[in-house]
Amino acid sequence: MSQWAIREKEVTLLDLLDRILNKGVILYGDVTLSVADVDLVYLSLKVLVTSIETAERMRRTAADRYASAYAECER
Amino acid sequence: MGGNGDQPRLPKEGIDPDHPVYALPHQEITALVSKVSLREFGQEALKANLEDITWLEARVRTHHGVLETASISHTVIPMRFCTIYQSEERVHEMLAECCDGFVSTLERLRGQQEWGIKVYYDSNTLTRKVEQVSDRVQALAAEMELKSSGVAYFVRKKQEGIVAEEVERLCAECAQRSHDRLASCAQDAVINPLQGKELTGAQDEMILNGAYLVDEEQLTAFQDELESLREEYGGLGFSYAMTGPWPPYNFVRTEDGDEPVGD
Repeated sequence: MSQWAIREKEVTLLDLLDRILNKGVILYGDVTLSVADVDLVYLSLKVLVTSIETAERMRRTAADRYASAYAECER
Repeated sequence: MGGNGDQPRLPKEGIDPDHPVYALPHQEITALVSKVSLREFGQEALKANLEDITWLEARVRTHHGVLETASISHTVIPMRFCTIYQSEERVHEMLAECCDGFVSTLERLRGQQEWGIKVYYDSNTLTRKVEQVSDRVQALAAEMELKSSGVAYFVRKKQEGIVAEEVERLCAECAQRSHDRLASCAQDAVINPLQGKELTGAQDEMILNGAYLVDEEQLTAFQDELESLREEYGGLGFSYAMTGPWPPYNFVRTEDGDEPVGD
């Protein structure tokens, strides 16, 4: 069983946030996260994912350009 | 946390690295608490820090780590992240007020673990399969062969519509059947909102995001059911990801649903 669990385990930040910010017993503490706070976290996360994707795309485009320019020179 | 007897092994650091986690017993239950600095966790400071994903990730992982460690030896009730009280006295007041509810929740959760199952589909594989096996699509393909290019264009559009419809139907069917079959091996089950690609950054679209409360004794049956779903739907382009065991985050809601308890 334990082997199974380890193989399948992928505790991503998103899974954690979904559980830790949205689930669990909600009590009114003297400080408590509001719905707006939680929304804000997801917004930041979206921006982060988008910027990583954009960076990755730019890196790939640059690499492709370099490769084709290199091929030109070889020729 | 249940049990006032053996203390669980606790991580040294709480979510504020300067302060350790410690146990605060109250009758037959125990709260696991740690002190935090208001410089970092006061209402205003917290708002600013929440936008800093690096700060947040470290705190969230610690919060989870405490629960995960404690749940090795004890039944736990996860609290929402950043539930902060001004004094130990206030924590005791909360425990006194909520003790009965916590005790019955702990009773219900004993010997249970939460497992997450996410189902994704690979659009290319599923679309290709549908094109291969759907009679309606095959009939239209045959029709296209006979038509002039102008008419064939409209027939192709119609064909694409039918394929998309069939893909959607299969996704809904797979999500529903998967959930029903997994839930039948669980004590309790919930369907959570799908995580969009804009959050996962994944290639494949998610069609089910389920959480299942599984009795330790039932885990093998649950895993077998998952394997049989994989065999049945894997070839169509559906894939299953299992996570866990999790502390029972999804299964500690109060009777009234989402309403907070306490004052």
